[in-house]
Amino acid sequence: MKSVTLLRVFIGICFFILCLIFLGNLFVPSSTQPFERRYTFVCPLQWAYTAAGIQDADRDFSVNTKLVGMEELNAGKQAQAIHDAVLAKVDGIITAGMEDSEVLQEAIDHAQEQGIPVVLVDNDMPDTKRTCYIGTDNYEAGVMAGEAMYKATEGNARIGILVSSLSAPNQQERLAGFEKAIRAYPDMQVAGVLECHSEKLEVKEKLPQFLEETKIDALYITEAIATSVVGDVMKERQIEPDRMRVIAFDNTNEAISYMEEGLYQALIVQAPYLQGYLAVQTLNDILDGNGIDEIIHTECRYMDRQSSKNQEWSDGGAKWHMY
Amino acid sequence: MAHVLTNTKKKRNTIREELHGYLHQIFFIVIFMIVFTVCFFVLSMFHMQQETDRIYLVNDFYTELQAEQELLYQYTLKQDVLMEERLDDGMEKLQEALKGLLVLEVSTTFRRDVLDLIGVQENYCGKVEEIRGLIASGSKIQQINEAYYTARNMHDIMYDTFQNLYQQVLEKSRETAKRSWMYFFCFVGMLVLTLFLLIRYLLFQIQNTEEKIASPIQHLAKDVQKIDLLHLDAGDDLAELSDVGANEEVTLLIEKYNAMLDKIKRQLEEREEYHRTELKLREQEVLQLQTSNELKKSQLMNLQMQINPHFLFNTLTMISHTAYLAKDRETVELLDITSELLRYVLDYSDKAVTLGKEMEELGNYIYLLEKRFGRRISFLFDLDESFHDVLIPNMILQPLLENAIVHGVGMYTEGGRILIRTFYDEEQGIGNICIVDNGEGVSKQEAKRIEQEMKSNQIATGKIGLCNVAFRLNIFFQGNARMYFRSMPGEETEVRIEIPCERRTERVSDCDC
Repeated sequence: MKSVTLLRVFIGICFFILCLIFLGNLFVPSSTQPFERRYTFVCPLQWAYTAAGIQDADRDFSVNTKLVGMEELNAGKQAQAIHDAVLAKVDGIITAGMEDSEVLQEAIDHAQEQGIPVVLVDNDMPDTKRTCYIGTDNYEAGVMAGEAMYKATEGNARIGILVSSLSAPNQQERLAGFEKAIRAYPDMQVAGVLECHSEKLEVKEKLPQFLEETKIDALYITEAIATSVVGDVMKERQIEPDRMRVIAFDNTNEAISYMEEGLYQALIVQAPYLQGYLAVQTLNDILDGNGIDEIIHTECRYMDRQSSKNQEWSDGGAKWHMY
Repeated sequence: MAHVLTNTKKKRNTIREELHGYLHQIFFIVIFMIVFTVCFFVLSMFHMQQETDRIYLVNDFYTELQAEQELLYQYTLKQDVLMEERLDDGMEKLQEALKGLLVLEVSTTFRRDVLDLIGVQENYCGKVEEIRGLIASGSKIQQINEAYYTARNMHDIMYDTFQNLYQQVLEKSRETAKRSWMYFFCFVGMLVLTLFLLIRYLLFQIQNTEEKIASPIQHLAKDVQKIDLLHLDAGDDLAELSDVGANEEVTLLIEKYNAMLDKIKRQLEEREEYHRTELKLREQEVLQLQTSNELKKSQLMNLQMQINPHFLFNTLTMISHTAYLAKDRETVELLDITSELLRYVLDYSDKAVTLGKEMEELGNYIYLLEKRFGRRISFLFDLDESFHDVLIPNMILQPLLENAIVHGVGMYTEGGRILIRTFYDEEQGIGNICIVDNGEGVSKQEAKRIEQEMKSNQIATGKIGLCNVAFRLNIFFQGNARMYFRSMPGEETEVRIEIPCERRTERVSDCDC
């Protein structure tokens, strides 16, 4: 008699599950999220954190931002992507500035002329008609990097500097801030500066020679792409971490893994997530007619092996449109 | 009978009702499952149909796009005003196709792309208008071409986006298909599991019913087997059948069986009671018979004792001695015979003797009588000795002979005659002993009275006569012997005894004394 009751209960459960399956099949979940405005974000694929910030903002403000990613920095492609966005009559454009690029400047100006606000992140182009810039205060970041270098080398170092381009304003500012910071310590001097133009191959090609020539025992990297590849070079050339102190910019996944291995001493972390989020928010403010600041500075953060463990954000699995 | 009462209170289903219940259950379950499954599959098919429709819609857009592009190209090439209408028409179709795509719920990205497409398409429209204006105003071919290439560029963008859309729709349909398959497998799995459980449940129920039918019947059979109906005894423990969980029919069987058993038990008890009473009665009868036998024996003894034989015997012996001393040889001889006779009486009293022996002793007696009566009475013998070894009580014939003399020929001074005759009746297997005398006899009334007295089977007190003999014969032969008295006054009187016996030898002699 007991087993019969048990059987009845089982049949009831099975039937209930059957009904659930039926209902699940009846209602197909909609994956479409409603949105009111269309923005386009054009940038290199590596900018996952910025993209994550943008996506979170999308959700919070119910807008849609198309992520147009590029394999590498290419002004022509970037400009073309902006032109396409203008043709599609989007409500706003977010992109990163690139110094000395006329096509990009022209594209941004064209968008502004069509009444589409453009927000630049990370890298400013003050000469364009862009509505707003959101990015790090690079000078302050440079100072922070100098302090970090002092902490890592205990005030005695022959420092090599790896920059993207000496003509880029943000690079100049980071350099200036750094130099200002180490000026206070007499035993720290800059042995040489290497340009790599945000190109991994260039880093791999030029860095070993640069190391031999300058005989440095500390390296300051001011740019994300170089940061992602220097660790590899060090491993290839079997440079002991004791003999080479590295302070680098941006917490790319590679950079963090190098830091875990002890190759990098510290990272100066910008706030790409916050920049992305703020960019969307700012575009909304512009379209709503709210007043905004033309330049918005986001803070930098010092990160070493201890603090890297509590990472604040992930890339959120951003879905990129390849360009 | 108590269990019958409790049974009637409980609701019991008949086998038919229970089977009907199961059939209904199975029927409804099957119908429900079929309807459920059909609904499920129709739904799945509907979903897949929707996916296919989406793909067709996206494809429609592509077709319109290609057509529009071709028209624009032809229009720009030929600058034919007549084609403007078709161009407008194509543009409208393109717009409609895009609006159709906007309604589709594929994904956020899809919607975004469609909205972008609409934006591009609006620009494209503008560009086409521009080309038409240029052509209408008869502008330079370079200008027209430039505008055309810009439009062409927009078309390329739309084409790229279309590819994206197409990919997304395909991906979505693949997802839906995957989802449908997953649901299908889950559904079928659950369905099979549910059916399995239901079947198990039904089997349980059927097993239950079967138990309700089979188990009580098995019990019934077992219990019935225990009872040996052929050698049923009242003392047997006829356990009543239990009916736990039986359904109506079997319960009925058990109840009736129990009632039958009950009845049999009671009948057995009654029969036993009757049997006992009968036994008691017979015992009493036997006791009565024994008492009566005893009584008869004592009466017989009493009769024999009347003779007081020892006294007589001693006296005779003394007389014999006296006669011997007086040298009276005849008296001695007579006394000796008398003694012998007496000894016979004493020795064989209470014992059966053969008819031969009896005859021999009768001979002795007659010898004495001849001495007394001399020529006055003659004794005749007609004997059939073939059945003379039959056993009879002793001293049967002597009283008869005495009777014949005393009441018959005793008064005759001469010519008295007594005939002693035995013969065997072959037909009836009866030996006959007759004593016939030619005395005066008795009157008819007297004869009848004597006959009656003999038949009454009562002991005539104080008399050794016919009745006495008749009584003794009756006892000895247990009522099978007959005794007849026949008298013809002045001619002859006959006493006849019929004894049932077997003849052993043929008649040997016919003696005449």
